[in-house]
Amino acid sequence: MRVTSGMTASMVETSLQNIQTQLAQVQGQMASGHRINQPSDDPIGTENVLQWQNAIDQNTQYQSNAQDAVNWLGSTQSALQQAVSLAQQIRSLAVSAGAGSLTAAQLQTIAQQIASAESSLVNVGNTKVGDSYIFSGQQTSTQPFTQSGTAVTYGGGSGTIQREIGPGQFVQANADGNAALTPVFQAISAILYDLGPGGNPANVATGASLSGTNPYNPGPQGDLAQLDSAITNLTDVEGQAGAQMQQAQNAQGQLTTLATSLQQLQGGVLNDNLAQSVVQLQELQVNYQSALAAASTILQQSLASYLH
Amino acid sequence: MGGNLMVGLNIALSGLEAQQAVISVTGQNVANANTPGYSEQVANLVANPPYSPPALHQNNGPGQFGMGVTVGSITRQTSQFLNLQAWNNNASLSADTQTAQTLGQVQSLVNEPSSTGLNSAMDAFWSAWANLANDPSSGAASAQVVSAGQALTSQFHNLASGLSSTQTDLNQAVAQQASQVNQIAGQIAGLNGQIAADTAAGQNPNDLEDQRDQLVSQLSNLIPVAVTWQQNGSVTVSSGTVAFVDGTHTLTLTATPDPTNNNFYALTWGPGGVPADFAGGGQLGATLTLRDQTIPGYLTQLNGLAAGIASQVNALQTAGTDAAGAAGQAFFEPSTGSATAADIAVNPAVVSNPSLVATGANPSGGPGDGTTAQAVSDLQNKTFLAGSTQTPSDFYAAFVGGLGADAQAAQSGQTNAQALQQSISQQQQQVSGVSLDQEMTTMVEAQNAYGAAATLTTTINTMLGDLITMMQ
Repeated sequence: MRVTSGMTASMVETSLQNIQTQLAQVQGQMASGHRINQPSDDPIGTENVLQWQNAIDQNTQYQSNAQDAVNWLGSTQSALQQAVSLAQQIRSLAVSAGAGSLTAAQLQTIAQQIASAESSLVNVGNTKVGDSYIFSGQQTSTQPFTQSGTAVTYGGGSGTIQREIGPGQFVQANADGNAALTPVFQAISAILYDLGPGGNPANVATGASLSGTNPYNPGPQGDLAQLDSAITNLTDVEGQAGAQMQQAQNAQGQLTTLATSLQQLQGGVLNDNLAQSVVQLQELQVNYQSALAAASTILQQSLASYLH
Repeated sequence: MGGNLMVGLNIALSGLEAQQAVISVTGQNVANANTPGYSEQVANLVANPPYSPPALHQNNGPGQFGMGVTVGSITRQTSQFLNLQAWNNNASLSADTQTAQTLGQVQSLVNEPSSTGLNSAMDAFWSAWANLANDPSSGAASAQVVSAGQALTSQFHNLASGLSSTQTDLNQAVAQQASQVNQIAGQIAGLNGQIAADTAAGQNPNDLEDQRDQLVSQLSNLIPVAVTWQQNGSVTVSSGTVAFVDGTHTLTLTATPDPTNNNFYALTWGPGGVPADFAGGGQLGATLTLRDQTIPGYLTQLNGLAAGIASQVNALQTAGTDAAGAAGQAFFEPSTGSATAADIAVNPAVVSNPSLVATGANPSGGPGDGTTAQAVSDLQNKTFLAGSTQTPSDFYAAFVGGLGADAQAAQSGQTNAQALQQSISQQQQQVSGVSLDQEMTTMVEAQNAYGAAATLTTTINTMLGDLITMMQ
């Protein structure tokens, strides 16, 4: 093979440039920490990275939705617990009122105690998270419970408040205030009516024979029995809120795990393997230096140097 | 007769002259050792016809005497086969280089994967709607939806205007490269004339041929060319079926704005002549393909994404109700026709009053009803693009992946063509390159031969002197 001066020079130039191109690439990867800096570095990988990014961003949103649901349900649960305890307090007052052999003054005191507990219960029913009434259905800016005299009316809306915790997967973040508390308020109003001027204290406990005379107790059971079934209903709603809470918290746990694995998946494709890059960089540096040394030796020489 | 001393002097003279010629060709080679496109030249020495020529009535004698040396021709060392290979490869190398470079710019424009590209803007947009669904009566959440919408549309605008300006730049390059083609074609035609004249006069126009090969090589970078050699030494250069350099005659590559194609330049051979088609080869062919096919393809995909998002969001918004219970209105403009990446915008009425964003499904829903906002957020998982097969994220990821694959193909094509060019160029150098070692060797040989011929002259001179002295 005939080797000419131009061949040597262009080979030296090409090999030095090849090494420098590779050096630049490895340096770019190490500097950014990413194996993919442009879609052309790995088109399929880029597609995956983008789709995983979308999944990660959605997951973050679902986590924040689940947290929001947990906040709502936390407030709902504690409000319902307070409501149960207030209702039971009222029940024991009613039991003592129905025991008989009480003076009118004593009965009036009990009625006042019950009325004050009822007001507290109305406040509980009007609990807010942020600016929203949590027992008012979707009418979150309307106060759900209004008290006039002994009667309490529900003015809120219907419908559920939902939070998305997965694609097309929702958790209910509220409890139906109307269903939970309205029977309780009705039972309390019935008790207060029977303890009041037109009522009969005996009906608190029994009331079966006088069915129809108390506008708040359709009968035939007594006021206490009506309160008991309202409390049972309230406890059921509380239990349901607890179950929803459990669902939201489970979702949070799953979403966190999913986020970690998505990030690992994305990182596996996107992130640079630093150890590998360092080794590669060192190899390239050695190559580069030997290429330089070889070039400087070969390029200096020709027969002309030895002719005198 | 053959033993004549005067003849000996003439033979010595022919040696001196021939070796001088060898030295001067060596000088030319050494001087042009680094000249691009220069082919090594060789002085072909041939022995002069011997004396006496064969004849019918020949004197008896020892036979024919040699009559010295002469330079028969000076030829260049070149391989037209290798040149043709190099020119063919040049066209694909330049095409891939141009494509890789332009798509590199487009990739920087698209800027993925990153936290600042369109992908992130879309995710932020869907997320803003989800937050609004969680808190439908919140003014802050509506304002956030509007600003995320504006961030999204501005990403679309950046991409669309970046791609359009790339297209405009490519169009400028088309005109510029076409004029380069014309300039080089003119130079080749000029050299054709000189070479034909020199050849007719029995010369070897080596240096002119080198220059012409070099020009054809430059031309083959711009467009794919086919070259045929004529008897008179001139070359015919064709693109497709059009011979645009034929002897000293050329056809001008004419650029005329085409009203059916954004007023971009259309190329014809001669004004109103045959349309020029380079099938994507050469720098000019690649520029045309990028301008007319690749970039418009990307724009079409982005327009599809923008139009899809706009129409889906608008359909949900106009069916919903805002926080005050009033019917919703279009979130994105333009309200008539489909949106494009360049003109998609958030409805100015909604921008000035974000509470007009529809959050609920019906007027009786109340301020806690986030059904519509939730539905808009859920569009990110709805397959409404690419014939109802892809979600917006899938569609965009496929677009970016497609761009990456195009760029990668161009880059690897470039790498391969470069390797091939390197190998062809090595072979060309092997044939045509100047080897300094070889030139030095030739020089020493010629120097020695010259010295020997000079000594011969001196010796014959002495012999003649002796003869003259004897006769005195």
